[in-house]
Parts: sequence; structure tokens; C-alpha cells
Amino acid sequence: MTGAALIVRETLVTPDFLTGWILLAIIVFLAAYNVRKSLPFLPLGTSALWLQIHIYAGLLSFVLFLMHVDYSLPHGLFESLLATIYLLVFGSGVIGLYITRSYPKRLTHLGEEVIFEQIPVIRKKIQTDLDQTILESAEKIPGSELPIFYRDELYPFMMQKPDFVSHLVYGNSRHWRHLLRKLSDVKRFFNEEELNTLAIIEAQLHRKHQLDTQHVLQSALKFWLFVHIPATYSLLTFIVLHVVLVQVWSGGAL
Amino acid sequence: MSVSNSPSGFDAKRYQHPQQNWVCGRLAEGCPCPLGPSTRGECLSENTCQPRRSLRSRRNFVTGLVFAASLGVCLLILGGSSENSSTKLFETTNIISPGPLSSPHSAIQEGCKACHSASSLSPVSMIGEIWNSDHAQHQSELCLNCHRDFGDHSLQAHSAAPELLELLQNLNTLEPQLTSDQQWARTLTDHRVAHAKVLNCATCHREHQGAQFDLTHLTNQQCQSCHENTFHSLSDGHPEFETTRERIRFDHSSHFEQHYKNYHFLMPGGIPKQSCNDCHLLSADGATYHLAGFEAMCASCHESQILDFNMPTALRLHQFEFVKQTPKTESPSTEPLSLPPFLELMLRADEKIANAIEALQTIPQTDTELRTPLLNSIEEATSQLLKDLQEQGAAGVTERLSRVTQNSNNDKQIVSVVKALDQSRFFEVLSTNDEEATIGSWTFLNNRATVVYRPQQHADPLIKAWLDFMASEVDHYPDQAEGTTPSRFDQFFRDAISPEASGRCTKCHTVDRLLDGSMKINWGLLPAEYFYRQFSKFVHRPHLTLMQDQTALSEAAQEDVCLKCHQPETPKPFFNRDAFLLTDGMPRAEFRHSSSTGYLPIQKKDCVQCHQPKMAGDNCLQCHDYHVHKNSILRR
Repeated sequence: MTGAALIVRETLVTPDFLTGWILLAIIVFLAAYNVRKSLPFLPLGTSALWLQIHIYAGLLSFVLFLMHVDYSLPHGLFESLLATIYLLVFGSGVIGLYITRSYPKRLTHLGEEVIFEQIPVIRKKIQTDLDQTILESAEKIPGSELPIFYRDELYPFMMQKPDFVSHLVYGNSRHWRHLLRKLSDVKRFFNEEELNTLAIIEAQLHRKHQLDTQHVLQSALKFWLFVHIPATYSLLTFIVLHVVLVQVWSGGAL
Repeated sequence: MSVSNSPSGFDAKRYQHPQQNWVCGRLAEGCPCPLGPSTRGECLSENTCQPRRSLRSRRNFVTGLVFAASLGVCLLILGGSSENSSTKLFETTNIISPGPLSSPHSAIQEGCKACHSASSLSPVSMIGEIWNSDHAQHQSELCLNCHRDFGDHSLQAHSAAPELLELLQNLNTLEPQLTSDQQWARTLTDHRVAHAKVLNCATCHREHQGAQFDLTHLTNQQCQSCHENTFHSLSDGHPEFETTRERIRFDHSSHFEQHYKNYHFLMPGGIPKQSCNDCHLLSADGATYHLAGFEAMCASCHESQILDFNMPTALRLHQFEFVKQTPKTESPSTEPLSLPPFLELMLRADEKIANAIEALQTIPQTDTELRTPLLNSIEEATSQLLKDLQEQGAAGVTERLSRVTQNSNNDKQIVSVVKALDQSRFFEVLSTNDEEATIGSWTFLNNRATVVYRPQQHADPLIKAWLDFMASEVDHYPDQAEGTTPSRFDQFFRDAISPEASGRCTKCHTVDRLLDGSMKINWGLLPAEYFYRQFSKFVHRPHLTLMQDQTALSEAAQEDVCLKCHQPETPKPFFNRDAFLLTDGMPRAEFRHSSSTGYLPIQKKDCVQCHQPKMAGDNCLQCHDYHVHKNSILRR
């Protein structure tokens, strides 16, 4: 197809029309993947097959796009807007490809799969369990400093929202690393019974930290579509206008 | 370290499906209601909360919002791009412009509507026009509002008449050389745009590419994409240059090598030429050479031939004899009827007389019984014609010529003839009562009862007008089909350009056949626009400068520079060239459309020395113009 466009460049038939129409067909096909996902009962091939073709077609569309704009930035305002939206769709698609290929492996390493919508419920459960553990510790060990340590240092961590950047880049948060150092520091001040309780608390905090990582990775897996899909529909809309303008204003260029 | 979250108390019954549009308002707090919200987003619990949209629902909402915003922007742009839109809120033509205009077009003040017919469409009709190709032609017609000099076939390939294109295609003799890319391109596209009814300007000229963009640039491959016969480059496959016939016959070789050397004997008063520059004057733009004109170039030797009253035969004045007094004869002549062409045309305006003239051609000359009444009727008609012309003057001639012409659109030529007759004082001669008189160029010869015309100078107006009129009325001459009878105009034209014809104009002036079958005599230099609206062009000055620099020639030796490309033929013996054989210098009929300049054709190898891709370039458009002039003719 690319070769054909290069060959057509040697004729009076402008390759822009050829690459443009092919690009439109590919973009419509790419957008149809979202429709296909909404209609799983139709016998149109597996979703995995569609995804694979979607990826290859998306990459091909970028080559055609470069040829269509003649490897340079468009000069007109509308055409620049159209190119920007295409690049937004393509870029978000590439990022989405990376996310969907690498994050599930990281999630697998975190242990059992957690449903995204259930994360707040699980986090609440961990907090309730921790509260219960501290209350029982306070009754069992009078005069212990553990509840005060929990209130001042551990509870804020429990209530903290996940640090997206740290989780995405390092796989853990700086707050968690800071907390681990504090826990290591205070252990010498507690007796054996308190240390047993602290071990239970530390395990729960670790679960909370991993839940944060789950939350961040799954958010990324879902939120890139907030750019990719709306931008795709916007792109289709602007493409329709582009076709109208080119067909009617181009003066019969072949 | 990985820790299982399975003991976290996940309750499958309370699973929030991603497809659900609403989730419990308390989900973020980690304690959603067991019932959850309804499908319409209403809380079903006693402790009411405000249900929230699910992630998918929020994504759909954002998608819808972006789509609606995009649609709105598109409609605003579409509405604002139309000049006549009643819903126009603001001007958006600058937004939809795909880029800056080229320098020549950037000065257009009228905006988009000057070039785009679409700017007058409403947004709705604009959408309806997507698959309608007519608007493209309308847009091209807007181009022609400014670019007016492409003739009647502006939107045809090469702006040439279909007949001319067909003739050119039939001239193809080359074996096509196609690269693999060209083969593929022809498979992928319909290259035969020459067959298209309309070839829009935008096919080749792509605007909005920036101020410095050359709108006329095309690659060699693009030029050849329409052509049936292709070749790789100027050096590889381009046909050798053909010798084109000049409009004025002049054999340089025989003149320089024979006539000028013997002018003392041939033309004692003649002035032989010494160098190219004596006759060829470089034009102001340096593109081409103009001829110095008849007076400077030819008159010293040839003017006497034009004016010589006794040359070459007694029939010389036949074209412009006119019967002044109809002689009454006692008995009908047995000679074949021979009327001067001008007189015959005047008489043929009367259908009855025309039939009589035709009948006399078939009746045997000895059958006086049948011929006498016809001849008498012609005599009476001649007398009446004389009276009519004396009374009506120019109007009478105009009326009669209009009646006998075959070409109904020939008023211009008739007017020229009548005007030239009037200026030559023809009508004064008809009215004079003198026994013998010379008025203007006309002389009344009493002994022959006729007035005769004698050219007074080169480019005589009446001779020119009359020959042009005859030529324009020619139908099939000289390619007349076998077995068909030539029309009277064909016969008249044959006589008018014969060696015996008055003025002997076509000794030097060539004759072209036009696309409509009529003839055209090439009287003089071509108009300036002819040179920039032909298929081929050549700018002399830079080539001369280059060759002078290369050879360090002095200006005095400039003609040697000319001879580097224009190499003379070996001269043939005097008057021994085919075109002049067996005549007194006039070309024979079969060679009337040919002549020799006495030079060999320009050799392609001389051009190829410099015109290669990495040297002076070999782009087609360096030597060829795409749009040919509206008056271009195919010389044959």
C-alpha cells in the first residue's frame, strides 16, 4: 500500500487522495473495534483477534498518516487540529498498548486478582481489621505506646490516597518506604507482645500498600481509554468535515 | 513479596459489574449498600445516598461530550466557510485554508470566492456536492476569469482542440519505454486523462503549498503519466528533433553558397547578406530571433519580381481582371468559357446564372444551339452586374460574395476583400467614363474591355485579402478524395497560388491547412504570444552567452556560435531542389507545403551535453509548454 502511494506520486493522481481514503477506511475499522466489544454476541471473530488486528492497523495508519501529510506539519489551522487529534489518538493508543502489555504482568506479581470496583471495600476492611487489632492490643497491654504510634504514624498512611507516580515508576510508594524505616526504628522500644501485634499490623499495612499498587495500575489500564475513545470519536467527526472540504473545495484534483 | 488478597472478604454477590451505569455513593468509602442503586441511578436503601456514575458510564459521558463538542465545532466551521450562509456566526475560511497561497495568488483581494465555487454554497448544499464533479469544473472556470489566454479548449489536455490531440496521438511512432514504477502507476490509475472531457486546473496546479511553491512544476514522470509513448529521459529515448517548416520559405544554404556569390549576374541591384545578424534580430527578452522584415532582407533582390508587370505569363492578371464593358459578339465563341474568378463569383450569386455557368462546363463547345442562350444570359447578367455595382458599390460586392460563400461564418474575410477593393479604388474605375484610365492600382484596358489590377508593392492589401478569402473557403484542397470533383473555390485557390498567379506570393509564403480543412497563408512573422504558447520553446540568450564563454569567442565571430547548433546542409545545385524543380522558382503543387531552411535539424546530442539531471537539468518543462496557444495550428 505504501509502495502504491509512492508509485502514484509519479502520476497526476495525487497520493494524498489515495492515502487519505485508505487512512479513512483504516480509522473507521479501528473505531469499529469499540463497537465490536459492545456486541460480543455477534460471530465476528474473537476479541483477541480484533485487538491484534487493531494494533497492526493502528501502526499502519501512522505510516499512512505520515505519507498523507507529506512528512511535514500541516500549514492550515483546521488541518493542524485534525493532525493533532490523530496524534492524540495514536499516541494514547501506543501508551495503551504498553500499559495493556506490561501492567497485567505486574499485577500478576502482586498476587490474587482484585476487582477494581472492589478496592475501596477491601481497603475499608483492612482499616477495620487494623482498628480492631489496636483496640484489642490496648486492652491486652495496658500502658502500651503502640496505639499512640498507630494514631500518629500508621493511621495517616492508611488514609492516604495512592501516590500514582511512585507506584507506576518504582512499583511502591515513598510513603511506604518511609513507613518501613520508622517501623524498623521503633521496634527496639516495644516488648515481645507488642512486637507480635506490630507484626500483624505491618502485614495489614503491606496489604494496603499492595492494594494501592493494584489501584494505580488498574486505574492506568482503564483511564487511558478516557483519552483514546473520546479522541477517536472527535477524530471521526473532524475527518468527515475534512472529506467534505477536500471533495468540494479541491477543484477536481485527481 | 506477594500477599494474597483473597481473605479480604470479597463477596461475589456484591460484585459491581463494569457495565452498570451507577454505583453506590458509599462505594468510595468502602461500605456500599447491599442493594445498590437502581438502573436509573436511584438509591434503593433506607439510608439514602447519592449514587455515582460507574467508570464506564463516566467514560461514555466524556466521549459523548467530546463528540458533541467536535460536531459543534465542525458545524460552526462549515457554516462559517460559506459566503452566503445565513447561519454564519463568524468567518472560518482562514481556519479551513490548508496553507498559504503562492506569491502570485496571495495578492487576490476577493478572498476564497475568487477561486473556490464552493464558497458560494450553503453548508447543506456543500455536503450534497461531495459526489458531484461539476463544482470542480466551475472552480476551474473561475481560474479562467484571470487566465484568459488559453483559448476555447482551456480545460482540455494541453488546452488543445480534441481534433489536434487526436492528430498528435496518431503521430506517435515511438515504442513506449516504461519503468516498472510507471507500469504499476498505469495499473493503479487511469492515465488517459487526455480522453477526459474536462481536465481541471487543480489536476496539475496544487495551491496552498506556500509562497515559494512553484505551481507549474511537474516531474518528468508526471508529464509522461498521460502520454501513450514514454521514454526515460532526454538522453535516453527522447525522439530526435524534427525539422519544422518555416512560415517563410528561405533556403539559407543555396542563398549563401550560390545566390549571394553570383548576385552580380542574377540580381545586379541586390544586396547580399554577410552574417546571421543581418536578418535575425534577437528579441528584447532574449528568447527568440525576429526577422528584420521584407525590406531589409529580401526587397533588394525580390521586390522587382513581385512588381514586374510582364512576368511570367499573360494569364498573370487573370485573378483580377474584371469586365468593364461586355463586348457583344456576332456568334458564340467555341472557346471554353473562362471567366475571371472574381467576375465568376459575382455572377454566381444569381442562381440562374450559376446554373448556366455549370451547364456550359458540360455542353460540348460545338453545340452552339444549346450554348448560345446560356452565353447570352451570362452577357446580360454581366451588364446588369456592372450597373448594380456602379449603383450599389461595396454593398453589392458584399451581398454577392455572402451568397456564394460555402463558409457561413466568413463575414470577416468578405469584409476584408470589400474593404481592400474600395481602398484600391475599384469602384471608381467602374464608374469612370474615360476611354482608358489608371486609377489607383487599376487600369482600364479598352481593347480588352476589362479593368486589370497590378500590385503596387509587397504585401499588397487586395491580393492578400483575396487570397485569404479563397483560402478560407477551400474545402478539400489539396487532399481531395479520388473521384470527387473539386469545388470552384478549390479550383480558384489552386490558380491563386500557382506560379502564374499575380504577385507570386506563395513562392515564399507557405500555406497551412487548418483543423477545419480550410487553408491559411502564412503572411508574416508570428505574433509574440505564439512563441510562449507552443509545445516547445527555446531561449537563445543564455545558450549564446554560455557558448561564447566556453569558446571565448569574440562578438564578431558570433555567427560561428550560431553554426554550432544550426549546421548548414550541403547545398544542392541551383534550383535543383525538389520543391523548386521544373518551375520558375515557384514550388510545385505537391511541394507547396514543404520547404527547406538549408540547415540540418538541431541534433539532440548537442543539447544532451548539458541537459542532464545533475547538470543543466532535463525537466520536460524546461523546453516544453503545457498549454498551447489558442491559435496553434498543426502544420502539415
